[in-house]
Amino acid sequence: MPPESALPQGRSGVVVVDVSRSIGVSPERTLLRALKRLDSPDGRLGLVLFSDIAYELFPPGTPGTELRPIERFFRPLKGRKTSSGDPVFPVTPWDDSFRGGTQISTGIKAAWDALKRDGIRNGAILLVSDLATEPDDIQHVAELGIAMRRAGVEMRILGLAPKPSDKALFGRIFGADSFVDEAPPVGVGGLAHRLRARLTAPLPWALAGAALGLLAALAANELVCGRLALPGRTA
Amino acid sequence: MRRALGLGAALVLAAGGVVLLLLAVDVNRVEGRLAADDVAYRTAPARTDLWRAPHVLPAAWSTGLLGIDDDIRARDALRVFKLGHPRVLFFVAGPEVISFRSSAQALLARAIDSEPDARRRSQELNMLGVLQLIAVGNGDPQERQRFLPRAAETFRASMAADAANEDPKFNLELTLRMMEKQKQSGESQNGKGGVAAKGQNAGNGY
Repeated sequence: MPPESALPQGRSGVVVVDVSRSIGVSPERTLLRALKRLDSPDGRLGLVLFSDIAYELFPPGTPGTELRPIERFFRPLKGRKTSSGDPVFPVTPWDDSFRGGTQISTGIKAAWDALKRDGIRNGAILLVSDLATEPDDIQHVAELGIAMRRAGVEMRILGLAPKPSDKALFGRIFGADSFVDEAPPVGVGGLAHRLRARLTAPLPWALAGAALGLLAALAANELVCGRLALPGRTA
Repeated sequence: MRRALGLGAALVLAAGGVVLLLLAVDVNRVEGRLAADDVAYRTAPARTDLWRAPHVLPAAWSTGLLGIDDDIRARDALRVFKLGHPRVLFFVAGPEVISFRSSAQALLARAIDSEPDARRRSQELNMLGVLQLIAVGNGDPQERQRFLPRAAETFRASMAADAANEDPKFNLELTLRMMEKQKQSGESQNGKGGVAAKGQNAGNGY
């Protein structure tokens, strides 16, 4: 998932990350890969962590490289395994108080509140979750989905191995096209993905206009102030 | 030079012809699929691939060309609305049914916002109002206060979209009665005596 396509181009975004206990080991690796791809010096984003409550870790506009210190919490400790053979992850600040049930609406709402607080109108939210929210939370998620769409806030979802029924539910609420794939960062697939992201990126109209203006001025200069063509000397 | 230009133009035209041919194939498939899946829906409403024809080019090209995006959206919303079994009481409905109801609200809202046909818009608003009305079925007074006025507003919008539609009028009447009852039970809880608010048999009127 290259950073160019994880969040829509030209929009301020907030990444909403699910840190509830329902996330297993394999999705946790996907989460690490997602954070690594977003960790880019030219990316600007906000970060919200949530389980049954949400916490805004970074405000919108924070450089993507600030994600780097967070990544270590999702990286398995080398040489350590649980009795069942699963990798062991470092203790996180949110382990005790922050990893109960899953209320996805709290994370989405915190992200949208951050966008509204910073006066960002056409913002975007990237939800990184296994989408296993509590049944009583679905109504809140649907209400947020309706309100955000009407407010022009784009929602993107990176599913961490979600159940098909959960994926279908979120597809119905936010649209099937809101899901982003975890594209290979290398190889032909990665190259094609990056190329597509570059091609779909919005054009910097001001810069293009200024360049065309300069070109026109240069052409006018050549036309009007060019060297005079003197008639040849006649013998 | 002229020969090269001619060859280039021929290649571009040939490529354009192939694209148009593929588009024609997609359009033909969509037309047939829509009618066939209207029938299939009656026997298998839970199928998720209804009204989705296989396509060579992006699906939006053929549906956009035919101008049936709103028809498909309306059908999707109606399908999920039905899967939410609106006549089943909140207490009896399982989590799956509740999730269908919630997502049907999102689908209906999307359909309503882009619906050019006033009659169908009225029907969609009525269905959305019904979902808002039955969302209060858990009897929580706070939830009731939140959803009942919203449902009433949606039924009014439905009536405004199509005055000939009788369903929202009936449902608005039911909602206003529930609001009145809610108000009375609130007053009784505030010291006038009487029973506290109980869950309503919402969902029996539409």
